[in-house]
Amino acid sequence: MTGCALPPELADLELHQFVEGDAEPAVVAHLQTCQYCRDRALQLRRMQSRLKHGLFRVDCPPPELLSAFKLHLLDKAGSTVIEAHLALCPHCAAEMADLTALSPEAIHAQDNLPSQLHNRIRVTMARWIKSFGGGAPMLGLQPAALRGNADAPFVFEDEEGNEISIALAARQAGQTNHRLTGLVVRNEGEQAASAGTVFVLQAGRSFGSTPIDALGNFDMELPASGDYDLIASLGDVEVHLPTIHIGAR
Amino acid sequence: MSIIDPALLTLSGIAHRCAEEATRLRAHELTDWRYCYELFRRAIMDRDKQAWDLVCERFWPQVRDWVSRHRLMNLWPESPDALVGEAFARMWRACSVEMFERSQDLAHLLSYLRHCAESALIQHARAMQRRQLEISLSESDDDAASQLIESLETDTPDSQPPEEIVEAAQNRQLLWQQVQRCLHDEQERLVIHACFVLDLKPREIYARNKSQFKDVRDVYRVKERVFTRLRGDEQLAELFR
Repeated sequence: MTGCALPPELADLELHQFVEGDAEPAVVAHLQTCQYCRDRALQLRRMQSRLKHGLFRVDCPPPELLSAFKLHLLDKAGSTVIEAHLALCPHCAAEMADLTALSPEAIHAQDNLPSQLHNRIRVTMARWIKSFGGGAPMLGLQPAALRGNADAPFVFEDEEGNEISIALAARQAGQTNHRLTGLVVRNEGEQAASAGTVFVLQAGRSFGSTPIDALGNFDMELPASGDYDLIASLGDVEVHLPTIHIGAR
Repeated sequence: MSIIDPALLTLSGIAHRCAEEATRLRAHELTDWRYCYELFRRAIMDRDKQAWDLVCERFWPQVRDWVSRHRLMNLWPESPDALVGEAFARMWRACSVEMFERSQDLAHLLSYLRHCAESALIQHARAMQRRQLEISLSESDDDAASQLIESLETDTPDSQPPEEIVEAAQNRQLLWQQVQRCLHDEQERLVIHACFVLDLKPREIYARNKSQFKDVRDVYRVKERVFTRLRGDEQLAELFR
């Protein structure tokens, strides 16, 4: 660069105005002629671009924090920080506006959720009142696994005080398979479980289900040893058994 | 009706009841969402991964339904299921015990989950916004346009290795810290933050802060003053190198 072609050379402030598109016509005319000042403007623009590349939205909170703020899930200090940022940052304010339509009220409306969680259980749960002795029940150690415990089935009580007993037995039915059989009796043998379903779950996931016949019997084949959860659904009552272990440990 | 505390049920029992309640919902019967809330509670409060897996399983179809109808979905370069997975991952990372305690009910938690899906979309939109800014600032418009098109076609949210993402973020923070060291007062901080962090023009900065400046030229004067200082800062030059 040899120097300004149309001295005096442009002031830095004028170059800033040019870079931002705010320059006076005289400044634009100067730059059209003067290579020296044009190069200075270019240097300024490059520096500005690098700063914008590096700093654009450098202090914006992650979107999850905006969501948490929107849903009042932040503590007071966190909320204050986000509030202050939103007052400054038009980008985050625009993102917040996008989140407005996703309020809990909208979720209620779209997914038919009750706005308050009342006691709306239609199926009552039976209360476990007695069963085997202490420790996790184990089934299937021996072919007659329940011998010794067979006289002590799981006993539950529904909300009206009626007893429900569930006796279980497991036997090996192949190299690894086990057959689980059970009997559900309500009111101390006066009345068998008229109908229902036993759900078998393992590690929280549904494993399968089997019907309870008119006499209260059910059976199911299990492919492997392990811990299982059983839930007997008897129409108006649901019985959640404690976790049982089938097979050798 | 008796109240059975969901907290007393086994995880299997909770999952079972959640499924039962979903069936009731489909049959337009009264539903009780306390079991699903309890599933979230165990996952988040107890950091129970198994419970969280059940939450994902239970609500995956619902979140997928939300995201597939989202207006920003056309910007998302991957499958809807990838976004659903991202939403659950974000909630698992971000939802603290304290945040859970402030949630009032299941709807709050589902709202947050939905926001997490939207957050992933917003994060992607932010990355695109940054790329667009870079392109608009670059010198060759033709090359820039083709670069932008190319980057939009090939980039996925995970295309940059995580360590590079972290490094880039750290470098940006270092740059910002160094720039802040060169600022002498609140007025300078306001102008530089608005110019480079918020990408506002001096005219916009003045319009938003009329009480702080006499006119637009005043904003330019502050900017020019700081810029001269920044150009002479050796540590900043080192960071740029």
